[in-house]
Amino acid sequence: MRKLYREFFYIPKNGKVCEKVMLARIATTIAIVVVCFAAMGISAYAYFSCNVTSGANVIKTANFEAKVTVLDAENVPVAQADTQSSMQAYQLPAGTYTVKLEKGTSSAETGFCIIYVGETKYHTQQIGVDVTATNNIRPYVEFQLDFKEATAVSIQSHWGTSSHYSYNCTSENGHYITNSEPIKTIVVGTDTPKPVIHTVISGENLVGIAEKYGTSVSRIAAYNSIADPGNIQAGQIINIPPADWQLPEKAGTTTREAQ
Amino acid sequence: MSPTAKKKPYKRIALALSLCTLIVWGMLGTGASLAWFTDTSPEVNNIFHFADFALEVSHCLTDGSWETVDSQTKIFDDEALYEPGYVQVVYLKVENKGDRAFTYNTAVTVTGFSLATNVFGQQFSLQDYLKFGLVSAPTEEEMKNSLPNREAAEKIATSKLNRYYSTDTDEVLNPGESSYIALVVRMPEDVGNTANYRSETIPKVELGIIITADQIKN
Repeated sequence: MRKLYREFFYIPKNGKVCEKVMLARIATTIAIVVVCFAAMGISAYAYFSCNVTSGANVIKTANFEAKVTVLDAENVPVAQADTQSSMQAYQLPAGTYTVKLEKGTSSAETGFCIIYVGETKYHTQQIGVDVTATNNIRPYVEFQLDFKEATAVSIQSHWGTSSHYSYNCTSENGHYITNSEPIKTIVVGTDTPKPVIHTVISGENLVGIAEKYGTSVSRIAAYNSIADPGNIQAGQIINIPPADWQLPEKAGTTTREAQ
Repeated sequence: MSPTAKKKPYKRIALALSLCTLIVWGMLGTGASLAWFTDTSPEVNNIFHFADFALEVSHCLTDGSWETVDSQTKIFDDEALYEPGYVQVVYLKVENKGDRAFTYNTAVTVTGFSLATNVFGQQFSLQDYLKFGLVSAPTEEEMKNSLPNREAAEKIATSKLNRYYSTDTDEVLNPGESSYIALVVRMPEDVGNTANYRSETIPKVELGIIITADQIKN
């Protein structure tokens, strides 16, 4: 310690300063001056600035999962073909089936489902919580499947909102999905065609329904015995008449042969 | 006079100067550290007074009233569940309560996040999907008129929630003036199953909002 003290604070006896000592003294002095100025600058900056910081804001997300139930004509649940896939896949023999899609138990929010029937893809309406009279969200959607031949069906739940998919959905509750396009139909024996069933949703009218199925209001009203075509209720089941169904003549009309 | 006697005054002067330098250096360092790391005045609710320099930040509650922001305040709704199409807008008010003009800058930083697993079995981070935006206005009315509906808010929130987001330019606030800021966080509508989690861990992001003010000459 004494040696260090002499080295840096005493002028040597002969008056000459060793170059090494001189450099060490200068370097030390410069370092101290730089540190002092830096400290002054930092304190000046810190003195003339401040900030406000909020608490930690947590942003978290919901998810969507659908519970899928596929029942055969005897109301027996059909087993999935592949339980490993993110989709629920079924190999369905020819026949009729009922598919019900509803919000799964772990689902926290709403979404929709995509149903793949062979190569064709259908988007459903939104399913889930927050069902109101004005939004397009249902607690569940139900479809009928009518297959003339064995068909692979996959159902995938999708997290998404209504404006892109559900308002433009390709399938609505009560729709009847079939794989029997003429080119693909295998007909064994005769088969009585089954009527298409439509469930009225809020805001719909017979004009829109007739346009959708390519028929007329009068045919629908007559087929369903609807006295007032302008008065249909949400949830009402409408049977769409087959194309070859004949509209009955009105009672009391007579036909005269031309003379 | 002996050489030794001649040296003694110089020894004392040199020693005294060195000691003074060390003491001044120590004081400056300590002062700078204290000033840098302590910026709260607990007895005055979040108003920092250094000379005449005072910044106050408040956030708008659902009833339209304003509440002062401190380090415990949560500005965004913690209970909200973001799904595709979900948008949340929060409003902040920055006030100059002192006598010195300052410039201020708003920064949003991601202070933490949790990864989750999606329906395809892949890990994902929520911050890769969320969008963020910020807009400021001089009055509250202008602020709320600039975001009249959800579509307007969606148009503002276009930046990804990276680790750090900061406004490009510093706003100037004169004494007595206020400025209003709207922060928007949204989940884009086209986010699909890649962010649809299946894991036990709920994906989340933690955000911190920092408003820094620096004095300028009047």
